[in-house]
Amino acid sequence: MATLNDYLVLSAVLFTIGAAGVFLRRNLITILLAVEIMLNAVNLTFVAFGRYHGSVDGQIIVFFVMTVAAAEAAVGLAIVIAMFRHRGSLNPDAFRTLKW
Amino acid sequence: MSVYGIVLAGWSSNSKYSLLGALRSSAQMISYELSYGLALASVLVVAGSMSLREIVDTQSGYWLGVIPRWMIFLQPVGFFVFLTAGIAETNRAPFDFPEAEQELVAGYHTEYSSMSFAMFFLAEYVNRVTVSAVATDLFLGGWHGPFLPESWGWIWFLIKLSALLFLYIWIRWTLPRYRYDQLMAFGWKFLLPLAVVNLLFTAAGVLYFVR
Amino acid sequence: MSGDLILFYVFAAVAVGTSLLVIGQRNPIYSVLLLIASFGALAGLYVLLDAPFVAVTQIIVYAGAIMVLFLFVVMLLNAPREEPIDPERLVEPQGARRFGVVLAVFLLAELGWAVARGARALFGSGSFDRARGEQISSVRYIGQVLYSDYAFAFEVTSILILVAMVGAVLLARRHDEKQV
Repeated sequence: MATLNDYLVLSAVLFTIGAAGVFLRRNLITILLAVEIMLNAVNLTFVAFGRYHGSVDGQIIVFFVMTVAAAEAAVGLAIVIAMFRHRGSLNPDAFRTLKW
Repeated sequence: MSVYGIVLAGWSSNSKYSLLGALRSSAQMISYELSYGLALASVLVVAGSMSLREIVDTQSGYWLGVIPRWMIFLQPVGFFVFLTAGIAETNRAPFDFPEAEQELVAGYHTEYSSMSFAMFFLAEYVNRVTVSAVATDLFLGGWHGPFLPESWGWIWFLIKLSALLFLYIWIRWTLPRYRYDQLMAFGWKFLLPLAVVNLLFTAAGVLYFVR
Repeated sequence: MSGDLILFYVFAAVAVGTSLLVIGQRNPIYSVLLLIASFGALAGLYVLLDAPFVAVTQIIVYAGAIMVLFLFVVMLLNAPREEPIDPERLVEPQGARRFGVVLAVFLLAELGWAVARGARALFGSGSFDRARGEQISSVRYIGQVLYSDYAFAFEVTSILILVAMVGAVLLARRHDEKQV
């Protein structure tokens, strides 16, 4: 039977992978994917703790986190599309100046 | 999730016909998924359970000794929405514009032949049979029927399934094809509001008459 | 080594492995598909945690809808494979990359330390009790709690989704010659 520790360590590893992806990748879409990985790691933590304390609140909050993640992915991708149409590049380094 | 197969197939063919067909087909599928789910939700509200076996079991027995207790009599609008959305989901006429032979060569499976093409077609037909089977379970009383003991219920299930598949084929050869913008307008402006209103009235009815 | 533990390690390995590949791939299409696999593994983990509703929602919402959105955008933009960093164009990227890796290692070490130290001391009261788990994970119970205790958050979330829809449509609109 996997203990709470195992789940927390797994969440920590996934969160770190997501954070590393946000820092290291030079493609806007992959950065958004890494943000999704981080959100999933957090979801796993919530569900693990909820289960551990015998409370359903963990799952309810995960429900809301998923909804917010969906909304954020939609708006983020719309912004990426607008940025790509303007500069023709998905590299965040292409957006160095404040001038649009 | 069947959207993935179509989208990736169309895009990987590296030809504009395939890509257009794939994008149209997947946009159509995700549009009709909403009405599909809402019609399903109406049945769940009436049956009070998410287990298919329990939903079918609530449809056993008869009213007045003659009319079977099928969900289709309680949810006629729901049945219409479910079947229409199912036909649209499985890319079947009159909603098969993405595969239309006359317009787009063959849509997203233009570049596929022999075994890959066979796989696509097999998958599509299995999808249609599955939609009919689920509709039989949800709306037509599944394996319940007169004269046969319960362990032979699968015969009734196959009879009802065949009736629905006959309906599928009948509709395909009778109705002309919807143009793509008509198809999308139908899905969003007619079917989805209808499904929502159906769910609303169903929930209100269950609350009023049952509680 | 019970079956549950083996399944946990299998799912965990798949999730971690595919996530590493997601951030390591050059082609964004492969990243999206690998992330779908990662979500599948996470759904398996949710089932192991006696949360079937969350697992199914994960598949339907995350793997079925959000990733389709990502796939559409990648295809729409015909996202190019990411070029390797050009050394003579920008000065700092190599150093920044190494610094980022070091920071990630530090983050991982810190999280590991926090988890190892804190979990035993603070959370000794709970346990993965099976009976309680099944009681709280029924869809009926989740529905009851969601619509009673969390009703306000539920309604606010619906407004949030409306705002996101309007915002996404507005932001991705094509601006023609006439500036609106």
